[in-house]
Amino acid sequence: MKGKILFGYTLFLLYSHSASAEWVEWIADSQFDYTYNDNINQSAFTADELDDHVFDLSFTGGRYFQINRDNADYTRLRLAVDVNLRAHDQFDDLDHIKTGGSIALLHKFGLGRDAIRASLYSGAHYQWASLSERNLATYEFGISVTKNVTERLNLVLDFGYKIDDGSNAVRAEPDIASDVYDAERFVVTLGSSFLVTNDFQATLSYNYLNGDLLGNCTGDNVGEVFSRVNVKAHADDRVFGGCQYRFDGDAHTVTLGGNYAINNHAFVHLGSSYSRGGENNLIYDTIQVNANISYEF
Amino acid sequence: MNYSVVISLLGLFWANQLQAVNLKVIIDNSKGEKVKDAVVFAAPKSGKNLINVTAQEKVIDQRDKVFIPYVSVVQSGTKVVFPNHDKIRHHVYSFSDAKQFEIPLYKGIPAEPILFDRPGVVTIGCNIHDWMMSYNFVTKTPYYAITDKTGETTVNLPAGEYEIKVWHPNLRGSTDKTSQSIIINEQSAEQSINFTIQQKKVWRAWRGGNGFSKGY
Repeated sequence: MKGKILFGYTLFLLYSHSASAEWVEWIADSQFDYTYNDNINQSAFTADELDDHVFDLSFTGGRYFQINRDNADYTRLRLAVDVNLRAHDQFDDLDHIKTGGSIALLHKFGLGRDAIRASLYSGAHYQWASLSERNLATYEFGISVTKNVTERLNLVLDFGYKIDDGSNAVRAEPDIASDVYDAERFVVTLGSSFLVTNDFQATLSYNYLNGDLLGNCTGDNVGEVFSRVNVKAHADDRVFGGCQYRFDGDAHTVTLGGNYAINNHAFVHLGSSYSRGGENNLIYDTIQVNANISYEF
Repeated sequence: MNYSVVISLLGLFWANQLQAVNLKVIIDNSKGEKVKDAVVFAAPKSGKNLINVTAQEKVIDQRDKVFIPYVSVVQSGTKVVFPNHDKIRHHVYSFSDAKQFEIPLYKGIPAEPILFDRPGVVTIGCNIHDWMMSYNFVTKTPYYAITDKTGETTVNLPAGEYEIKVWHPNLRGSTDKTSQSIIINEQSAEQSINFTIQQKKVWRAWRGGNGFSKGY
């Protein structure tokens, strides 16, 4: 609910600013992703980790407005609608259709490619999963700052706040809340990209997350989970079996990748990330390998 | 103006045309690779013809979020038009010493062309799409050309002594280091000259996939 109010307020603010804006550019992007996830159930117990291959097809359509007020010629409004189709090789209960929109107020502090760019953004999406208890509304808000530090090096700093509003899960125990899929998180990302050649760019990012983490447990280790962390919610897990639990924790993710430009509109990406998250020795590790091809209109 | 003056002027013009010789220029780099988009310009040692032109216009187009051409050359005094044939708006600018200007967001053809009146390199960009880059070389001399993908071009020169120089966006060092003298002999049908230039890397990110160049 909090997410809906915040998103509505952002919409109102941006709409009121767009009264004198002018359409200047279309957005029409598409992307096909393949991801291998070695711990898709986020188990903190190595023996219980499950892996899967995930395929995504995503489309984004939208427009940019230029805010043409005095001294504000460098400010733009980005409105976009997103559609995402996801399929899993094994856990097809998690397959979903996700759609929603995003709004961002973008400002460039001056003229030229070296000027700092800032983005104040928010988004709201809803996913319809094959298994309805995995239906999820997501909201995000954040600010992002980008700077071309040299001709070859670009840095991005992003502060985000994310809210998940999940469906009712099957209660596992009467005395503990079952809203495991309702989560709030703060995320800080420091990203960099480096031109290796004019058509190949290496990317490296570090991501810190603080807030609600989810994990999968079994009948054998649920006791250990409860003894190590303060479980805020607990429910049956009908996708991976056993149970899902939610607790406060931190996660650190490092992602390394590379983009190769095929032409002036399309590029391929190959990357891998390592995440380590948890609390009080209840730690899960996840490695993901991702490849995608994108086309930008 | 009486007929004798007109005929005399036509005669002078015709004589000048008869004396012009094609100078074939071939440019490669230190690796032996042919250099495309190199500007070749010839300055008469007599200093003749080194005056600003007044009525010339040059077009640097914008199509599919790219400047066309990537490299161009004009004589100082030329007016440059920046038509935008995309269905979106561009914001064209240059910080270069030879010409600083800004054409805020627009579509179609700007109301006024930009006068390029000082010799030098004008690096042109779009403030919205950071990957868009174009280089315009402004020269005092009316004798210039740009190499094609074979690294060759031809400059049509009246007989006389010239200093020939080369400029390229990737040129290492100044154009003066490329200087060669040549005497154009009116008896020749064609003369040729070769240059080997030192190149440096110029970082010019492609649009696709580069967070670096996504604009804003």
